[in-house]
Amino acid sequence: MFNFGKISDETIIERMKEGDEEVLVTLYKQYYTMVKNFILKNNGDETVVDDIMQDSVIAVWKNVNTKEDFTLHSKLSTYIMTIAKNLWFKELKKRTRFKLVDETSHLDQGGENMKLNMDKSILHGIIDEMDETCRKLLSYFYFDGFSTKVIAQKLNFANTNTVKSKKYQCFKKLQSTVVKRFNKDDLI
Amino acid sequence: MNTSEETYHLINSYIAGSLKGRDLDKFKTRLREKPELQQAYALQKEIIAALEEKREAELKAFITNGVKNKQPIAMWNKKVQFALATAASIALIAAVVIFWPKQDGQTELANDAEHTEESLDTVIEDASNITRDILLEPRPIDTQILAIAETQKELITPEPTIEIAEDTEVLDDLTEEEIIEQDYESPQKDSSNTGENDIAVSTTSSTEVSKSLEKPKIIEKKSAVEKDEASEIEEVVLKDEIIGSQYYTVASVSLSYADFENSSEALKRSRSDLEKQVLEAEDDSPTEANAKATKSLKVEFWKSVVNFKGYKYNGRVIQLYGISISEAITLKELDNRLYIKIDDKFYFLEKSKNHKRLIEVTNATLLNVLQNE
Repeated sequence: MFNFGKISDETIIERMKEGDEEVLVTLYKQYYTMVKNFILKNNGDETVVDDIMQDSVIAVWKNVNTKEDFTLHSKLSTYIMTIAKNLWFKELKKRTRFKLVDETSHLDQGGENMKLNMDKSILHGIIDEMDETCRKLLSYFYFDGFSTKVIAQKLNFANTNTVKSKKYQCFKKLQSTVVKRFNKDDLI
Repeated sequence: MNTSEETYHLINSYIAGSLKGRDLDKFKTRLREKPELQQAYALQKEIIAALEEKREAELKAFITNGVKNKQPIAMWNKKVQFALATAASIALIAAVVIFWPKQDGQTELANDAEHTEESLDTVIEDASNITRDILLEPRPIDTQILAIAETQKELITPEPTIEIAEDTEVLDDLTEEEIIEQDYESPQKDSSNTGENDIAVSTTSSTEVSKSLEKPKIIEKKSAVEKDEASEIEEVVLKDEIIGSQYYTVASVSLSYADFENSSEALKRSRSDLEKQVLEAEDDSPTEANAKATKSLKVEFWKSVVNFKGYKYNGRVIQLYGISISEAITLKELDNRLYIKIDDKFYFLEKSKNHKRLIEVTNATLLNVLQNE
């Protein structure tokens, strides 16, 4: 009957572009039942709903911020439902006994697939130890895909140039810490 | 391992997929050839992946906490809706109980009853005037609110121990008790005013009041005074009005369509050709082609209150709506179908019990035939 607390699609997108993380919770709550009903009807159970929903919401967040001039061509509910459907079908595919084998995966792709023997937990620990501003800056840049303008606003930097220079300094610092912490063998 | 700022940005662009064209080819060649760059690229990729994983976990934790801390919106909505509905109901009941006008009148009368006889007479007179005003004034009152109010009243105030008058006479002649009774019941009469033009004005007991509110019904009025009151507030219902009527001769044209269908050039035919064809057909068989005035129909011109423009045709009378009586009208019948010509346009008239809109004839062949006739 009433729609108290229901935020419009445009407002949600606008707030996402501004880097308002609260909107993720709103989005989650707003479309949880819809996604849950879909998963339950398609061989899923309640245990996976949370993961799919979180991944869907974060995917929307990343798409909105990473893609330049992101515009919604359908209702947000349709958009989030499409993402959730894809994620769930992908998960179902993973669960099937027969998996497709990529026969070309073993081929050398010119050093691109070179993998380091690094312990992820140590790497995560190093990130946790970082200066908060640096950690946030790098996270906002690499994961969220925020523009330098939004990063400058969120971290109270004077301008976008400061963001650019600070980003390199922070990464260099992190890289040198990683190099120091790991053995030379791990980095080869 | 120390990468230059340029290399750092190049690797960043390559990972992000924003490196294109010649720059991309150059970078790929360098990456294949230089192990140092390979190492720098792998390290940078690992660090970025770790940063992304950390941030994703952070956002997921934020969402989980946010969901746990607050009720889902749907739940909140329901709660708010329920709270609002409850608050509104309480406020409404409180308002009805506190501000209900007849209670004030009743209290006033009850207090005034303790006064002297002289003051009592004045009060009775005033009360009767107020009662009359209330009776005569049509006020929209929700019967559900009244029902609640009556229920509340039954709970709060004791049942009046006044004898009930079945049929009221002239209001001025009412006794004190009857005035109180009238005053007590007046809203019920008002509520019936809102629903119907014929008003039931009669005195009933309070239990009857609540019953009548639960099941709204019209009680026949008896006194002449009440009839006058009813007529004063009677609503005027606008109805469709007939402007006039005339008889029109129907020019009947029975022309077989087969004659036209056989010829693909029917459209090109001139009026004389068509006339010839009709005459020839007439000679051969009088049933196939006839052009003669056979009957007349009554056409009524109506003015619709909703400005409807159309017609109603029952086979005997044509009721035209929104058409002026002064307009030149011609009726023609072709293949047992009736056509009307208004303002140089032909319309098909369909026999129906319902009102229909005028449908203009647009078929060129048909128009040709109708016009030629």
